[in-house]
Amino acid sequence: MRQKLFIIIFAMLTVSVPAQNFLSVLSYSTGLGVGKTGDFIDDFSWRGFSIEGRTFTQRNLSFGIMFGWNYFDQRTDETVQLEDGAVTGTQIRYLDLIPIMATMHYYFGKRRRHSIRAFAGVSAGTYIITQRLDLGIWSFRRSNWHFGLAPEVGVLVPLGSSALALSVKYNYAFHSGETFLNETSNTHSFLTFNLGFAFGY
Amino acid sequence: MPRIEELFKKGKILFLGVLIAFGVTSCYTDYGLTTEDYDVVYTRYNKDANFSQFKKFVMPDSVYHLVGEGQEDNISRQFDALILNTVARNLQQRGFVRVNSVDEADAVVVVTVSEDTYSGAIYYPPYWGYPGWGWDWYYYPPYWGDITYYEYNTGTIHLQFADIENTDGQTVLYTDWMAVMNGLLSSNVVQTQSRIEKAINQAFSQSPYLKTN
Repeated sequence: MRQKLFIIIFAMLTVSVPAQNFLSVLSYSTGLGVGKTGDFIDDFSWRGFSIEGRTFTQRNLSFGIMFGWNYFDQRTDETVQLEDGAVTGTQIRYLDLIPIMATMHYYFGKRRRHSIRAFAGVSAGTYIITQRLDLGIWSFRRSNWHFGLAPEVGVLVPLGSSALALSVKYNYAFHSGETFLNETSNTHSFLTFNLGFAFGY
Repeated sequence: MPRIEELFKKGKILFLGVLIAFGVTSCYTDYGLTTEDYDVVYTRYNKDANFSQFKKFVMPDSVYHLVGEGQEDNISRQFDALILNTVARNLQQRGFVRVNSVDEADAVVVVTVSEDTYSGAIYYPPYWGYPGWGWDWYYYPPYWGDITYYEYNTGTIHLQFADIENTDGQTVLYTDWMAVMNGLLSSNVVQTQSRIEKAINQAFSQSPYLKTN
């Protein structure tokens, strides 16, 4: 599975298409959980990346695919309230989130050599999400595939034939499969702040 | 001086690799957990119980060690008094009065300890590090995986608080409050004493409903 994912990544990196019609974007991705995800881990995540390929079908419109990885973890000693009790102990909480999505982006204004260009887009696809809680000598783990949506806004700052790509993305993974520790829902939502380079701009 | 985009072109793959490595370096945090970090305090209560009806409790003067007939555990009895005194002190702070006769008591408190052995195996998969997802692909030569077996013992304290009516004189038939404190077996006496007191105090602290008024 992981080897296949790496093959896909490097295939995207080395793809050869005419310049101006294709952007490959590689980003360093940080993140912050919101909603229930933020309740589980509220520490900021400094670990993640994403890689995208975007093909322009019109001057202002691109379609593509993206693959990414975001990782959250946190240590906490807080008491967890249960329906008829409570549990206290050092907990290590983990979240692994892997989006694999189709993307669509709209670019504002004209592509000029030295002008910053804003874009907005949305991704749709799947998240592979693994949630884990270590408590004492016990470890609880749940992994599911989720359908998800991710609206995004950002800017491209030209650097010659490349560009700096800055964006903020809201990721929402719908309820799927079995819930974690008998919770009623396992939807996840998190923000990613992406700093990357777009090649072929 | 080469332009920045030329540098990107020349070192594209290398640059991308460095950026990815930056994003995923040290994927999993080493929290440096100590033995004490594995202690867990779990409490549970009967939501229908009215704890204010229990004014007086009786508690045996000894801690029961849950072992098979003719067997011994590795939990020293030198901590029994500490456990009983800490439990009694917490109950008295909540307004309960300790009595010596079952006939006078509204509730019974039973303290038991057990030694539990946990064993298992961890499989370290080839190439991809541990545990589970890892990105140690840069380890060379390839690592073909290994299985490590482990076994360790933990000491557990069990507290049971029950309506005296729910006992048959020998055993507790129905518990209104229980606390389980795991991970209390250590070769360091001072450390063990500290952990026992801390765990019992925490059990009461996270049970605010356990009081006479």
